Amino acid sequence: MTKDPESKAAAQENIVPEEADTPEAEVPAEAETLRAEAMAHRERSLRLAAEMENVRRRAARELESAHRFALERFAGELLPVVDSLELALGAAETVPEGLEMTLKLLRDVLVRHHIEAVTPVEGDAFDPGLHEAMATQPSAEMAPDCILQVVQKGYRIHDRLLRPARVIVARALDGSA
Amino acid sequence: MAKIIGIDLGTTNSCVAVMEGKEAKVIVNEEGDRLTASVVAWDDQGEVLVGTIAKRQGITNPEGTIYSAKRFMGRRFEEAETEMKRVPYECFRRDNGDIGFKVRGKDVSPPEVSMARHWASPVNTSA
Repeated sequence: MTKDPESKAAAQENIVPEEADTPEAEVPAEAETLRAEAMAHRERSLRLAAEMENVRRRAARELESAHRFALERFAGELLPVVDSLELALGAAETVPEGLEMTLKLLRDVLVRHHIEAVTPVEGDAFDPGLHEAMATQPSAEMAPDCILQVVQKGYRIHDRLLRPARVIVARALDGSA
Repeated sequence: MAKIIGIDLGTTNSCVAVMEGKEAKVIVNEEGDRLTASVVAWDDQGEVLVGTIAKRQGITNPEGTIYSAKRFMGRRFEEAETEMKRVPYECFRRDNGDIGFKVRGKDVSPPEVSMARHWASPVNTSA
């Protein structure tokens, strides 16, 4: 920059020095600016990389704690069920009633956590999205691919299947298939 | 920006991960599982089912449910005769000596089974 007035003066006097001098005078100045800019960018990219790494680590830690706390709360809510079962077993003569109450407690906890039973009934169409086929059985009364028997009910958490209902599926009588 | 993914294509289960920075992160499937059963089924409505959902209906659809396809990958028909006897679906010898599967009248090769995710209809993939 300091050479600028000189080079301009030279340019006014003669055309030849302009061609020779101006690039020499301006390039170092421009290079200096660019270098400073590049350094600033480099600094920034390093900082960003470090910050990214921090964010990633924090996210991982938060996720882990979220998992743990979700389980803690759920487990905490299950404790009264354990208590209740112990009480029921301690008072032998009221076992059926006590068990019923315990079951109700447990079901309430499940519902509160959006865990709902998948309860197909015999005759429903077999849906692999909700049911798992344990076996097939030839049946004259039931249409093929319909549920012949529910072995175990399934559960759903929110809109995700926690456990499929286990069923036995009807198939056409042997020979007619 | 383009992403790099890695696929562990297993005989029984498969897993997909994506590079995030310097680390590989496993992608969960629609059911929220990190592993997807390496099972593909063609049902009687012509739908393609992939993963756990295909596995669950396997027993009702033994000829239309392909599992352990990797076992037949890159092998010639003559090399895998004992394995073929153990599976309920139909295997045949292709003209070039490779193994093919016959599923609901359709010829499917082992690598095609493994890319069946692309064939699955949106109905199944969103389940």
